[in-house]
Amino acid sequence: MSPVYLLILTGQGDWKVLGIGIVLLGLFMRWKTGPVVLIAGITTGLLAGFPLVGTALSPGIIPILGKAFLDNRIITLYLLTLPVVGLAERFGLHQQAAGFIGKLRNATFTRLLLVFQALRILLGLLGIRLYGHTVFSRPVVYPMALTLTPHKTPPILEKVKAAVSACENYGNFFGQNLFPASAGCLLVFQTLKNGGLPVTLQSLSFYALPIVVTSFCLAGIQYWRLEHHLQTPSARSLPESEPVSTAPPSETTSTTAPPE
Amino acid sequence: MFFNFWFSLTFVFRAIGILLFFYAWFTWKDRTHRKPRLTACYWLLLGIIFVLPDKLSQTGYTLVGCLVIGLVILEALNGVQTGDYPESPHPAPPPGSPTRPGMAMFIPIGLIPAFAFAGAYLSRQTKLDQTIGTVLGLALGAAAASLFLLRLTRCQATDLIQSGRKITEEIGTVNILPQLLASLGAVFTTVGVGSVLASYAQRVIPSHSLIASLLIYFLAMTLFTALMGNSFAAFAVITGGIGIPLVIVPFGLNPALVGILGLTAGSCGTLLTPMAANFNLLPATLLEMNDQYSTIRFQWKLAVALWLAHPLVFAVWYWTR
Repeated sequence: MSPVYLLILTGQGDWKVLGIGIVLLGLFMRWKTGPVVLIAGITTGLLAGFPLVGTALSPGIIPILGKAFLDNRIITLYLLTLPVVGLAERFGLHQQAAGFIGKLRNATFTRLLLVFQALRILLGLLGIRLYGHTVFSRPVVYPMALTLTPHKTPPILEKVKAAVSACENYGNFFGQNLFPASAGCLLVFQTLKNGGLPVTLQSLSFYALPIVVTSFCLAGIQYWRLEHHLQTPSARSLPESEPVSTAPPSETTSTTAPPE
Repeated sequence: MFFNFWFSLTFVFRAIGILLFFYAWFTWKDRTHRKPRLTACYWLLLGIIFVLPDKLSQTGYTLVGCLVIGLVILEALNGVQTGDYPESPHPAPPPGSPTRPGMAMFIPIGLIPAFAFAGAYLSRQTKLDQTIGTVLGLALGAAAASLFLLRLTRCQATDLIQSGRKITEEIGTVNILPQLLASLGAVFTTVGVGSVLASYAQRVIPSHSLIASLLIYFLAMTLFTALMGNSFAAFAVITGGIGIPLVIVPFGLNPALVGILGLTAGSCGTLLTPMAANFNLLPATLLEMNDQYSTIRFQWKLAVALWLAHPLVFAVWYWTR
């Protein structure tokens, strides 16, 4: 039993953690995510005794939501890169990427993903934070990975897509800590300082290194195993050994009404 | 004053807002679109939020909150749909055609990170805010890439905007999900959900065992990050509530090592959670996956293995210090 429910049942906790339960239930049931998140937020606020609108001195739930939404607009910055990616795709960027990787004799699936993960770590080390799923994964890495995938069955493609987006996340999450002035290092620095434990930013980046190296090696093993799986005959004929997809089968439904 | 406006994110957000207004207008007029009216309203509302200034009055924030509720109602009504996006009047030349641009297509894609790097570097050299510098560089990179691409393909600006509208509408409501989850996190933080959970973890932590305390700290970081969808939000609460008073100080551990390991233990949680929608769910729409949880299904194995590496890294430090 999860700690959250235990808390509620034993009466030690606060009802306001119920919002987490709503989110978990909504995600598990695959209800539409936006309404689930909004209802969870409003419920949490009401259970904690906050008003809906409130006053200037004690703001209510709606202004808190509004302010946070406004303050976090930077997450949606990638919208600015979509026109370029879209037009470049119309003029055959995917085919160019695929053609390029097809000409490299030494290219393998594992090497491709590791090169891009290394590139993301390097960008992190230089302090450049960008949303690589739009700039790299969709326009460049995925078409290249597709070229290196011999049997393009739907379950295989699903795994290749998942590996491409995971590669971006692995490189981005762990690589950024190598830059001493990164948001993550600054947060650790400030939290420790507030707790009376001053450290240097350089030491934080230094101690981040083992996990970066480990994540890179583990990812390499994971890509290599997938590559191996892609090339075995079972990948093209036998059904998947593990249950993969419970989502709607057709792509048109998934784009027009995302399964949420 | 002039400089402050240009060296700020407001200016970049306004550009996004104007782009969204164009999407709203084009969608409104799109005859192939499944829900032109409601979808146009969606981009219009989102555009308004993007052209607003950074700081507002309480009434202003309430208004933004109402706009957000409006966006979610449009989503609940299935109002955000796609069209057919015909390529005319400027269709791309077919593959193999001599007018089709070749490897030069990679240049605009490379310009975006190159400008972001230049922005980061220049702002660092001039001691300005590096985040703003990087973002401005990225925005300028997008502009430069657009100009370059328009010359290369001999397209018009409307083609560029229509191409952006196609991808943006294919992503649909997932576009605002990360911001919406961040807002949920803000409500959680304001009402103190994190401290309730932290007080629970404090109750189960044993005071005598170093390894048990350390493991509970790492596990709490992972689980709370998974619940909040953000390792940064979890870090301040969990490290302030557990990491510093119950692990680092009583056992005299290296704060920098344990702190950064706590943060990356949180990142392992980010790999596992749909709450981190921009990293785990948005790619599913971008890459047209059948199941939006496929990325998490791939990542969980590495997340578990990497989490186990955290106590090992600590052990190596502990025995060699």
